[in-house]
Amino acid sequence: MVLEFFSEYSTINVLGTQMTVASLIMAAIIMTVGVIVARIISTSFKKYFAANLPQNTSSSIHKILYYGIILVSFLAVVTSQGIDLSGLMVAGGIFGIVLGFAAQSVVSNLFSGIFLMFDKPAQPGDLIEIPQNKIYGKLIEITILSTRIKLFDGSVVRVPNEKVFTSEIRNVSTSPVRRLEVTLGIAYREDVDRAIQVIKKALDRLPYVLREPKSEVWTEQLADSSVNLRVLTWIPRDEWDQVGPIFLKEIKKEFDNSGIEIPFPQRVVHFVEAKKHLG
Amino acid sequence: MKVSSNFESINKEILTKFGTYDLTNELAFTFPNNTVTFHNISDGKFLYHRVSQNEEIKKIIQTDLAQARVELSPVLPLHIPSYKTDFFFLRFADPLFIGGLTTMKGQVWIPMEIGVFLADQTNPSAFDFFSCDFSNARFALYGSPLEGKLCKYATTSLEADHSTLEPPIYAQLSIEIINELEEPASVSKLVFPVIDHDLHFHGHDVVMGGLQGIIKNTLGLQVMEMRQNNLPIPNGWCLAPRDIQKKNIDYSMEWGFS
Repeated sequence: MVLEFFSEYSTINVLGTQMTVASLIMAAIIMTVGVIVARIISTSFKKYFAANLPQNTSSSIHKILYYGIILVSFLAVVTSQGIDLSGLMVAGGIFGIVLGFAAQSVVSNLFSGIFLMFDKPAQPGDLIEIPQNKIYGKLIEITILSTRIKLFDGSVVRVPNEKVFTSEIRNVSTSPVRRLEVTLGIAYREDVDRAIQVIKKALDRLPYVLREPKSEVWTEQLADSSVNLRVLTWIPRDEWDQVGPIFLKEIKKEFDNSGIEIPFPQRVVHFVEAKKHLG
Repeated sequence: MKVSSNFESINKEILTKFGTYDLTNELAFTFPNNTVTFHNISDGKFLYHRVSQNEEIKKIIQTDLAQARVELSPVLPLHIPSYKTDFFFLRFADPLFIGGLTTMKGQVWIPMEIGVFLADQTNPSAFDFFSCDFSNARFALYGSPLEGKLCKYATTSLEADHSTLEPPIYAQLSIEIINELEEPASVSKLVFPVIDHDLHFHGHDVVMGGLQGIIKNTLGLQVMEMRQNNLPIPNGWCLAPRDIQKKNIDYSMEWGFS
């Protein structure tokens, strides 16, 4: 009875189409049901399937499901009301071109985000470095548009996915161990073999330096002022903080105790004797 | 042959025996390179103080005074410098050569750690761990850097002279290596999930049970399957409390053992 009343006496013009209040109420019901279904399906997905997927992937699928169902509901509403969208199509075409230019980076980031989810260069919690952007920190999450990385100073940096996808990514969390490398110079008068023994003795004192693979020290270069020794040592992946900051200090202390000199840059200047020069 | 140790001679008389002790006003325990004391501050509150070679630890402990007891017990060598792995890498100073279809048996000594447990409840709860030989509490990698396994590490020898090894630094482990192949095999390392082993102690002495390694051919690859070999424990020996649960890990050395 009420619906008949509305249908007979109340009409509204929407995009050139006369719509009754009853049909608008029906549209509202379809839309409401659509939102409810979207919520139920996305929540069920989160509850039953998300646990088996990486956090970023599940979060993205959850959003796609939710907004996808709402979009389908909206289209169903439009179709059920007999609204002619051909007028919108023409305007939409022009608008689409404008929007395409405007949203170029957004779309690029979106696709990069999708590719990153499949490529999986790193997992949340991994320690990663993006040398191109001089970013080094712990990966928090890869969302649809951006990647969030927590730096060592406690701040969080948001990097657009496009930059991450097109950059080199160094992941130091894929291996149970990592290697520390440093080059040291000793004076030319020092015994290289003895210096190598002294360095190894210093490294042996550090509890997180691995016994196997053994630390390696080799003569890298006979440089202008010093004999350069390359030190390579392995540590457990997450223990850089325990070794990195004191690694060189321990070697320096051991050099001091053993009387091994680390030379300053030096240059030998020869004076040509005046007699020879004149003669 | 003597396994590398920093301790040439220790007067065993002054060393504390493993076991449970009533917490009185003052308690002191002596281990190689470590001194542990308990001092009663007030009702049920004790100051725990450990002085080690390279560190000093102080903790205030609240106990139920009526049944306050403390247990000093050997624990698996996984805590020092920090708990990062369940595996142990045993490197033989002298490699073993085992003929085809032959079994080699022997005893090895591996460094262990000491746990301090509060024993006033049903399950003793550990609040400190220390090593008597901190300089040998180290890690090693078994396998390649990309996919290897991080392990605690020690060198040992089947020929080690037991009389020169000082308690309570080492635990005795019986090993049995069975070569199921027709050709001989060279073994210079054992990697096994030490987390699943129990420790038993008696006075200063500690045993870690048995370990069996079976060399076999799996899909054309020579592997050593590691199994725990439960040996009978003599009467009077006590089972050491655990702070980490067993994981029943099945493990085979797939990246070589020579």
